[in-house]
Amino acid sequence: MLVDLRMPQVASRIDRQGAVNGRLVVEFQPATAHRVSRDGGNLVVRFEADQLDSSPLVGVLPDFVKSVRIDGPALVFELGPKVADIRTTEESERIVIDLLAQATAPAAPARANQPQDTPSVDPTAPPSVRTIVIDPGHGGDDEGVHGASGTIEKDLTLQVAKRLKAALESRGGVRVLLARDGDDNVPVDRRAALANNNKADLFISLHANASMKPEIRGAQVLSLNLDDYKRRGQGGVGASKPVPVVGGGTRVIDAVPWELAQIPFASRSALLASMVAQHLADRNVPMFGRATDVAPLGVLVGANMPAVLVEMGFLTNADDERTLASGGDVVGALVDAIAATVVEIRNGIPQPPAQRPIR
Amino acid sequence: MTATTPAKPPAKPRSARTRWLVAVAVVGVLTAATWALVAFWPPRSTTNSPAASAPSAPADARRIHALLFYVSEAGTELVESSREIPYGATPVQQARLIVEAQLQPAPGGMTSAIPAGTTMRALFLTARGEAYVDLSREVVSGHSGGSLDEALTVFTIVNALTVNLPTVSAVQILVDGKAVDTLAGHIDLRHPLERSLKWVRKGQ
Repeated sequence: MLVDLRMPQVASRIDRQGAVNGRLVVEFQPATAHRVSRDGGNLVVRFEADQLDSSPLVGVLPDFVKSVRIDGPALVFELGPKVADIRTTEESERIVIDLLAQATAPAAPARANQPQDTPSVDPTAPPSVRTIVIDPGHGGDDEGVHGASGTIEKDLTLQVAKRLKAALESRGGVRVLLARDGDDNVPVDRRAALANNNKADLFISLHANASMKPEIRGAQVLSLNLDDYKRRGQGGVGASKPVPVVGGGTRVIDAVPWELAQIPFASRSALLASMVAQHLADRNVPMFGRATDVAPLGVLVGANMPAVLVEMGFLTNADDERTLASGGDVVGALVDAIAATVVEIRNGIPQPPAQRPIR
Repeated sequence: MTATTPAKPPAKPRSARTRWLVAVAVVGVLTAATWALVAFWPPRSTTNSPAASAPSAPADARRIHALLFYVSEAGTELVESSREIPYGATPVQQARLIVEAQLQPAPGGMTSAIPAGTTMRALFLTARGEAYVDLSREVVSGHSGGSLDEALTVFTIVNALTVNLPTVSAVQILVDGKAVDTLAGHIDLRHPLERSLKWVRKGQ
């Protein structure tokens, strides 16, 4: 854990409550002072903390909660069209928020003017994944790994990224951006900046691995290692400061240092890595001994969303190079596994594992 | 005719010059002895480190045992190897000697994670215990890439310094005199990294 950093672990889930209502439960450790408020169509749970170590929302009820995001030390739930009122019960390490359906609430005249709103909501709409940035590793004069048969990592990552983009857009219905779509040398921070500036929900960096031992092979999914950033987090994050706005006055914003942007997402990124690794293994993609791992990865640290780096295989291994370069079944399985992970996240994750299964 | 003997030069001035020369020689010897004492006295800050186990030997030949890091036989992690290296009189001198030893070709049967031909251009320590190690460009141009081997390269240097020298708390690698984002596109080198034994398998 970070020293001098207040970062409670927060998990939230949503279920039906009775026939017509929803119930949102937010659990957190350690006990942390907090405040629940309504902000337009949002429900805001703000903690007295620097950042949150939050797990993904479990359960899918888009009529009640369309999405959830972290805003500094606050969880912001975008409420669905059925929510007319809320009733909050607060305990030391838990908040129970009953989301009362429109039918049981007092008259809501504003709704009468927009009767088309409710029918227009697609219950299968993604609660949290709308935009994904795929990062084809390396590029330009940074060619990455060279395989013995001539495969170059920067070309392979771009080819797979384009296939993955097409698959996600057609199958997942999400917006997909590529951190590069040509043979360009893009600095690591610019890749994460593209995701941040487009408010991406996931960041996936594609790479191929190398080893001085040619027998080593297999795919691996990596996320950021928090331990390597302890020193950098000691100054605190999320400091609020007023900035002037057009027309006069000031507005308080939460300033998050670039190099700490990924820290609040580290646990969700580790979960994302486990999910991708599991889907890869399910599709018989050869896996490296440590199927998931953590490291101080420069391309991930600035990403302000769950982010992983997928090493698709070792280009220093003849079998891995051949199967990856051919664009055949293994590449198809890689694309399918990542797409399946995105679909799984959109549909809600059944159980939030307390620990990553593979290390 | 009375022979006259030439007058002997007065003894007093010659005796004074001799004493003066002797005094200068004594001061010189004392200065040299003081320098030798200061230069070769084991530094207090390394008393708990492996570097402190210096055997008694002539100062210019003293050697210490240090833990250096090489790629395991499986190729997937680092292993420690205790090696004799020259003794350094100060933490920064010892740090330089450790890195120079680590940059040497691996002993028989072992593999170095550092590309061949890499040399150390400079090394300095800050008051906060951060070591800045400036390596030659071969550490980049000779690297085969991949996050695995890049991590092994980086943490070979980071661990060699932080494990052996308690005064070094973190290490930042520079290349050709400049800060770099990464060596091969993966491991974040924009700030000092602390010891990370997750990359090390105990034993050999």
